[in-house]
Amino acid sequence: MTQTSTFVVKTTFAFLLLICLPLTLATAQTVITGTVIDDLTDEPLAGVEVRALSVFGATNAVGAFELRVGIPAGEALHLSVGIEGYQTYETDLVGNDSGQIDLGTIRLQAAVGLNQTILDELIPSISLADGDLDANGGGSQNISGVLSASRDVFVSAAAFTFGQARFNIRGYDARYTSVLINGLPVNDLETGNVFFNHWGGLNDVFRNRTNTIGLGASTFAYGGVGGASTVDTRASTQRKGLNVSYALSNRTYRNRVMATYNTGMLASGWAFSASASRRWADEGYVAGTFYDAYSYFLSVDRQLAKNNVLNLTVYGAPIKRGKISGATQETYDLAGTNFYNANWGYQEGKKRNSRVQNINQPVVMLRNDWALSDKLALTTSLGFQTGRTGNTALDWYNAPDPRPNYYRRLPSYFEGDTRTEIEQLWEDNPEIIGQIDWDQIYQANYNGFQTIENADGIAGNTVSGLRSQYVIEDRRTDLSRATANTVLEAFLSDHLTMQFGLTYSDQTTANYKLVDDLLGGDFYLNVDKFAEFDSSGIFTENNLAVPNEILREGDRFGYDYDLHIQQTNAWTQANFRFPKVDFFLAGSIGQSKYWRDGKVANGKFPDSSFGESEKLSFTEVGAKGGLTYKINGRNYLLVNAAYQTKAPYTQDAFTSPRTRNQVVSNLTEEKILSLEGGYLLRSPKFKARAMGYLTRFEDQIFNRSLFLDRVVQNAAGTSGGFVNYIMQGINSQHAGLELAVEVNVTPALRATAVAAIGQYIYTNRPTATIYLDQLAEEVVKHTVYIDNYNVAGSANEAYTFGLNYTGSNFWFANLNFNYFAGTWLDFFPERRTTEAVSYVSDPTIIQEVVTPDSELWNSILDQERTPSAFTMDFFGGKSWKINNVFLLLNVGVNNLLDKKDFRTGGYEQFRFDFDTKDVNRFPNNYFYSFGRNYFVSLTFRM
Amino acid sequence: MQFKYLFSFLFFAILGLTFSGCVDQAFDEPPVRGLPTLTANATIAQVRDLHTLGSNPTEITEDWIIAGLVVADDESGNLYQNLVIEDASAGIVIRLGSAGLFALYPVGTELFVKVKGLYVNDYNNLYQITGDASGAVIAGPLISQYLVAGEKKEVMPTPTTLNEVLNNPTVFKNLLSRLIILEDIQFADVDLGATYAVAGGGSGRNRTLEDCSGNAVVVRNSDFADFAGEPIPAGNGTLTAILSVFGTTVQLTLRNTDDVQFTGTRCGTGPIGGDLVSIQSLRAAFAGGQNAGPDNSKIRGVVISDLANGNFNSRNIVIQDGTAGILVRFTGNHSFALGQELEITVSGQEMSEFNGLLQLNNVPLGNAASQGNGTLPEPRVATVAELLANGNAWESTLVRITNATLNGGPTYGDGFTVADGTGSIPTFTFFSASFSGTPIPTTVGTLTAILSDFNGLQLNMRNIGDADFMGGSGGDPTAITAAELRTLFADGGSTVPAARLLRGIVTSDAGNGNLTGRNLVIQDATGGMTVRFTANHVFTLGEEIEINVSGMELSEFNGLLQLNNVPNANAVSYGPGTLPTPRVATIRQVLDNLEAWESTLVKIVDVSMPEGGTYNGSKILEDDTAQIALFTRTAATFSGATVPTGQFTIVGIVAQFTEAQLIIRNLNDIQ
Repeated sequence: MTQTSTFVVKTTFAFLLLICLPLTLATAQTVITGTVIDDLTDEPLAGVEVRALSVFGATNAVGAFELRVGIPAGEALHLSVGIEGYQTYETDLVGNDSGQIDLGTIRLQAAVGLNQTILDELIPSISLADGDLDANGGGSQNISGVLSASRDVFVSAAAFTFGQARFNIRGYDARYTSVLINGLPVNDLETGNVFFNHWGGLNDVFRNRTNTIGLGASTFAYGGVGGASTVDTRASTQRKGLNVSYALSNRTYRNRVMATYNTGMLASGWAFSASASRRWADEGYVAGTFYDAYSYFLSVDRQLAKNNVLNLTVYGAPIKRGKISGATQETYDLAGTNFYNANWGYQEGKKRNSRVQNINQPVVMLRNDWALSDKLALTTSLGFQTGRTGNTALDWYNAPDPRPNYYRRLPSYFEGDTRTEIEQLWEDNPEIIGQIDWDQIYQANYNGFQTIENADGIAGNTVSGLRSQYVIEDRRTDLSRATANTVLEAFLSDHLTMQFGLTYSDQTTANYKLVDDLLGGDFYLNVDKFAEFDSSGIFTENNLAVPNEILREGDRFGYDYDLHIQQTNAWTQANFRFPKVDFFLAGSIGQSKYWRDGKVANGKFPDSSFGESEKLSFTEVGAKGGLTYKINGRNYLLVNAAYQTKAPYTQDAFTSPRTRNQVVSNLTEEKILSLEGGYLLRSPKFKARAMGYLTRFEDQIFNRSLFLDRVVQNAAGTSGGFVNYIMQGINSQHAGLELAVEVNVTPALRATAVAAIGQYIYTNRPTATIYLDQLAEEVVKHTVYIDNYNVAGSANEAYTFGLNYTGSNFWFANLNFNYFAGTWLDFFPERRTTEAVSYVSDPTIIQEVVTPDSELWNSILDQERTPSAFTMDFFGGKSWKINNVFLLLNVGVNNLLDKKDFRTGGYEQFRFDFDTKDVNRFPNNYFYSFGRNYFVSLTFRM
Repeated sequence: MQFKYLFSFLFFAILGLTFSGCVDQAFDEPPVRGLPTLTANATIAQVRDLHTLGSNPTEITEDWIIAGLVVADDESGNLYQNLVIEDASAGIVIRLGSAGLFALYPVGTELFVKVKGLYVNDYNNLYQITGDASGAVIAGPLISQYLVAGEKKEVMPTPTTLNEVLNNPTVFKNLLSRLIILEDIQFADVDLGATYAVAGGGSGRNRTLEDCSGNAVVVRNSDFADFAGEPIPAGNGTLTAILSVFGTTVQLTLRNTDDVQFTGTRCGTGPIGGDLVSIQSLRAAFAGGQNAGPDNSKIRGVVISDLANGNFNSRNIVIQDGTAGILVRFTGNHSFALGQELEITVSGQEMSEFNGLLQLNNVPLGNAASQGNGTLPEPRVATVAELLANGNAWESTLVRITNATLNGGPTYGDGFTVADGTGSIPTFTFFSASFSGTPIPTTVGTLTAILSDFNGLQLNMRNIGDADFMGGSGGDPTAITAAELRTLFADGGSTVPAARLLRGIVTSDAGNGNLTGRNLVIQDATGGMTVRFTANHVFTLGEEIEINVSGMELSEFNGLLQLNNVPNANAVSYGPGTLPTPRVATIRQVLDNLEAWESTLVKIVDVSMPEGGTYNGSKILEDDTAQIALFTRTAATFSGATVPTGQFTIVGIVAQFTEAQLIIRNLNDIQ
């Protein structure tokens, strides 16, 4: 922690305490009670959120709630009661002297207007980033979809309307938001990411969500700087009845069927919930992307005692789908579409995708909710997850690069007549020259008859057959994790509630490749083709235990290692509530320990690749606090601050985990300091929110493997090499404003306006250390000049204006007008070094450097921003009641204007032509938002 | 309620149906590609005949399809971006812009080539099919437009002999770029112990292959071949290879080491080695009537002839031991240098006289084995009279005559006699000798040479160092001008005469890196000269220097005349001088006077560079009269600077790299 940030934290806390102390003497609390039932069925509704801004609670299994708030007599307080699928009940309460307000029975009516469940379905979380991209390209995940359950206008817009433009709230990666299911954290310990596809297609049963955005206090977890979100999947909190739906779309899948049946809490003390879905497409919006996903879910509640419920939840969502590639504009133009996908080709007349994602990571969870007394509640969960996560890709040995968009195959690589001739081929038949030629790949494998002597390291063992030149490999990151979590909530007084939490996670990720398809050959060899180019002997062997290893389908090759991660975390939080102010203080401390365990000895690193690495251990601490000042029951001011340290992610902590145990030197915890403050207005007719935030990250790490030209300089000359590129000590700053207004113009017409304006920049010049991948040799260490460059991955400015009309005959329509001011492209740090702008490795005079501020200079250094874009979305729906059956039709159309040139992001290729300085030699890659796309669903509910 | 059950049933039925409707992601393996229905309508010979060797690439406009069998591919890396195909008529190389060609077109594939639109040309007399008029490869993405793979067939090499391919032009032409098989051959002894090439290097390596009848041929191996680091086999046997050519040098190209089956015993007149005999006893045996070397015997001595300076036939060496010397004539060109110590197996080897000079004749290169550097024998100091008296015994040994005067000339190559008062003896110098153009000294001095015989005793100098007149410098130094040096070279001279000094102003700018560090350009009132030192020099632009050019090599490097390998110590600085005023000329005039103006400064007005971009590399410079290349090294400090647009004035040094070119010194040369 720097001195500055220490100072800021200390002063912030001092400030909070000072202004809070006098107020703790204020008046008593008012207890608000009530029961929530379904207007139609008279069934009690469990899990309904009752919120008086900063204070919130939920109904129990019989629909009852009790909320303690400070509310001076005569003042109005805005209260909302809501759950997905129902219209939110809102009212203004007026404080009285009795300290008691009983709202009696609140009847919630089934939602007919736009609500979260419908939004969940209608608005795609099209995130091209969700694993579609190569590691090369800016890879932040879109976290919006999960955070959506909020009835907050801003968050809702951020999640759904801005999601299509790769917008992340405050520009944060998913790793800064804690996501929990039944109290168990599910952020991947290796990368921090959240794998939403582990519960894809289970929309019906994953809708009970509670979120905290930003630095506010949450009762279920300490939370990251982005906030925390938890999903409650208990059977007793699921809405009773049968739900069957069919949906048609032209997005990533074409069809979806989904069925869910919930019993609610039965008189016998049991509750059951079951859900299953299937989503599929022979081809999605983009050519060559098939989609084939199932999901299943079973949850059982058993009332052990009046105050003790045990829950078992099992779910899984096996998915297989063809992925999309990013491409350069040249390729998009050649193909005639911005939805060109280089990953597929025709095989026997059918489109075959070479990059298939295949995930099946089922989860089992046990949860216990135990009200020890009316002052103490204990929630304890245990979870276990295991399975496979695979992504396939072509691998090849000595044969030509099969990728149709390989730069040496594109017209721009050639000149004169040759270029024209190739351009003509693209024009005449882009589906041949622009896609993978599977026939040729098979033909090459059929040609490859070879005899391998001493195969598998056994003297005299001779194997003959077709040696595949090309194979499809499956890159596996199979994770297994066990998690235990417990939270004790203590209602110590009318003014003080405290939480104590303890979490332990143990995750092992098995990282390896296996041969998925020999593509007509008989075997493949476990040797490193890149190493073979330079050397011979054991250097080329990927597995020293079995030299000359013959590989058949299903055999592991290349690399094989486990990453073990153990995390322990304890936290506590104290929430103080008074009539004029609420404030909270929280602290957390934890330890993160991890190590690599190599399963094979690699020929390049015979001594450092096999077995366990050094065990790295980091201490993680956090402190945060916040204050809400209630001007009156409708107007609030709030300020929150947090300081946190985080262990480096394992993916950044090893120089090259594929090949060796070598640890990045000078590893240190990432430090995060964040402040936010704002104003909130709540009333039944008018809601407004204005928030500002400032977050500083220090000591971030960037760790990639890439091919770097001109990296090796010795007597024999200059050559390129595959390197581990590690940038350490990166500081960045995210600052911005969030504004949202919602007006109920008439009871039927609602208007919303939302703006998110942020600036996410790097604030220093970090140091990059470059190691040769094959030799573990530090070859270069130099400064990277990226101060004031923009952090990529999220639109910096997004605006939307929406009109929502709810008709009297159970229909609604919604129209949104959106404006996005462009996204910065991910940049290649090495292009911002002295080497990139000089003609000699160590320039001493100005003539040895590209003329500063010349066109060439700027083309090398400037960071590109995508153009701004205007889009429109429509959602509408209608419901009918036939006997006891509800029929709901919902329609969502995104990008109504069919804007097909809306760049949502992109990245510079991690390759630069140091000799000629021509940035167009390896041009930028871009992603485009889908053109007009729709989602129509028909739901039967009984 | 019944309605509800009906619905339930309906929906679970639909659900079941949709669950069973599957996304079909099972793929058949494609069958081995169906054979093409193409048939050839032309032969490789017809394609070759479209092109005249040495001329520009010839576009093939006929709608021809040729069918050839792939006889060599790129699998081992010895060929890169090349396939070699042959049909009944001929063979040819196809240049293709892709790695891993063997994966798609392996050896044995019948390859149909739709040659219309392609080009046929030759690379130093080797016919090849290329993608465009510049001789470039057929671009990777276009390969499948021209090549169609057919059936896989057996590849049968054509049997032949080295004698045929080397000496019978018809056979050579017919077999060029075909797979041939040779029997009873072996690598030359000089290469034994070497590897095929140098793994990790970056070029090609020549290895000599010889048969048992004195024929030798080069095998060219690439450092990128996967067998580059393997040692060549020592035995004798069968070799399969592609017959190739580079200029006039016949070459063989291996596909992999399976092509080399050398398991038999090496040939030669006897086994290598044997008992050491003295050269004197060998000579004595010949004098005694014996015309073959004694059984089981070898000689050992130091090479006293100097291959490098060209005054000896390239198949011959003269070797001397402590007793005597002898000329050895090999079956092929050797590479033994002056001072190398050799063992040569002489068992059964022919001994004969050639115009009176005794020689060991037709010795296979394999009979000679290097023993490393030896110690040169001290020349025998003798008078001419003594030489003439002991001719037979002293033949093929080093001798030295003091107080010698040379008569004849005016150059060594013109022939001269040596006299010392006791008598006179003729000399013989090849025109190819490095010093043949050097004028003979007119003073008295010492001459060292090998005593030889060509129908009478004569002397053969080895190099210019053998003439030591007036203390080695050949007289008081005198000035020589750049123009005189150029005339000397134009008249056939390749070495500067002794005692010559060249003085002028440095017109090149070492500081800006546009010449290699060893080179400078000097200009005097008569002209300019490029000087290449043995190491990087320190002279700056405008410095006046004097270079002792006595005996220095005058040679052309890609057309640019230079004083080569000048020791740095030979040059002395006289401080800053006055730069010559550049000659104002047009590009046309520069081109017309290239040889005379080479290495001088010229100034050309109203020039432009239409290509734009940076200086780096060869860029077109033009005025109203013509175009010339402006060449800038990547290492030049200004190579990345952008060239001016529009017209400007340029000052530069006239240079030549095959074609005329201009070199600027720094950006001040652009106005």
